[in-house]
Amino acid sequence: MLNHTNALTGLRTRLLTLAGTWDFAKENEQFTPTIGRAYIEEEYSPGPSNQRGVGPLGTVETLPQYHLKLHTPEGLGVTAAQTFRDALLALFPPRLAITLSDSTALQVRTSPGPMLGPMKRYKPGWITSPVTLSLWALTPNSH
Amino acid sequence: MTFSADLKAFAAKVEGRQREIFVRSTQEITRSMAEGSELTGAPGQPVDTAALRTDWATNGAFTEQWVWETGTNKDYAEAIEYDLPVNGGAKFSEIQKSPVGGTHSRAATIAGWQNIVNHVAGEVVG
Repeated sequence: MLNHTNALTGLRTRLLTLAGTWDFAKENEQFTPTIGRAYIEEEYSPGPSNQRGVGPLGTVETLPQYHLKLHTPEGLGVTAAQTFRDALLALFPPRLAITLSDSTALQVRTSPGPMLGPMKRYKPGWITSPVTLSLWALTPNSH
Repeated sequence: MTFSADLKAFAAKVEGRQREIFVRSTQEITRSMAEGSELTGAPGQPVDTAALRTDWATNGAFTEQWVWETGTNKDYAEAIEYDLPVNGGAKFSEIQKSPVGGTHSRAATIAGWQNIVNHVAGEVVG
């Protein structure tokens, strides 16, 4: 089975290499955004799993999702928000395989590829752009 | 029964199964969006007045022979899907009162489409 703690750690490690000055609002941790400074908010969904291989220790497919919200300070123009989002998408392209600490390859799916929500001002001070990364991992069953 | 008739009967049977898989897959999409689904991991819609859940449960329609569409025009659906601030305040998950449903059902349903088809095809074909 996919170790979701390892999966989230791998995703965060990759995300933290995103260039630029921004803060990270991790799931279920206290966070107060700083006015005028971009930040990324994360949410991890473990998703469904199916045993694809036959019998004991057969291969299990797991389909997690990593939901990110990119908050860019408002008033900077749409280009700043788009550039921020484009950089994120370039960091997690379809077919990217992230090697987790237990050697599992967590891949960004091609179908569906990254899903983008509308870029809007949902709260005062920021323009928000939702991005969902659909992921895929094959692991041996442990039983 | 001629060989030609056999082929026609086989083609009709295959097309019938395709149609059944398609129709039942749309029903699974509806269930995933409205109530949640183990096939997709979608939590379904939270329920207060049930207006949004009812939208997802009833708005699906066949617009062409092999095209089915669904959606909602509830303005708060976006805040629930993406877990965004509602009316500029707290984000949806921080103020959710419903014990059922949650966020990201649309994304989970799209990502779980192949699971839906695999499951339905397995039931139809056996």
